[in-house]
Amino acid sequence: MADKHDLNRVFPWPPYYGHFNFFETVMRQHRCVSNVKKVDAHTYELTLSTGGKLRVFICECYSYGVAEYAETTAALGSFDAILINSNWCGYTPDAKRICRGDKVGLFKIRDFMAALNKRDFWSYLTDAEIQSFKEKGWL
Amino acid sequence: MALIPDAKLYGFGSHFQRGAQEPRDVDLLVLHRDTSAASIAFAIKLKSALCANVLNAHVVMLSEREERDITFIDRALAFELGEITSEHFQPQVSALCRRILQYSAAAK
Repeated sequence: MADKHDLNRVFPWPPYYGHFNFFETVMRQHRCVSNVKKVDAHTYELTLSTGGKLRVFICECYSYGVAEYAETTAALGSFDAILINSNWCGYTPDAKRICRGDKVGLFKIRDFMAALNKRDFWSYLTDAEIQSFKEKGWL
Repeated sequence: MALIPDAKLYGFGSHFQRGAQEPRDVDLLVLHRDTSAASIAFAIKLKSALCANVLNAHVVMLSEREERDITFIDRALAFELGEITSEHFQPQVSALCRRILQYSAAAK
């Protein structure tokens, strides 16, 4: 575990509880996921029951925005999905729109579980997001 | 003539609250102009400078529109620490870091 002086050298910000156990558990129980492989502290490879693989980035940041997305991909490469781990964190509508345009799913874990049931999982929007996107003229 | 800031820096969370018990991190918001490549690059550069100078800095980056969408400043009770322009980047960052550290000293 990083000590206090190491924290600034860690990208991205480490999870509050030091692990993503909840994510790992719910992914292993999901009917569309056949294998969960931890690649590094924030990266997982999910094997879907259809045989496809998803490269997933998971993080805890108060509000994941467009700049954070640019920073993530510049530092760690591209992902199929970006997940926000904690209930008190989230993402901005702009980040969702831009990720969606790149065919990258940006979700909280509960919504990712629902999205995985769709073939184009990255396009999944919650009811509130559908409403919001319509109001902004993005749908 | 005053320069238009490329970003504003906000503080929030326990580090900035009087009497807080040993804050785990220093929560900061970089509010940048928009989601253009230049504005995003500026925000990331500023975040990097803050992380290099403030121990345990936890930096959120939002464009002005993103912030309006989610009303982060109101919800986090964030307050403005200062403005940063590309023309005066280094001295402004240094001054802001000194100001951030003053909160640690004031709490002791």
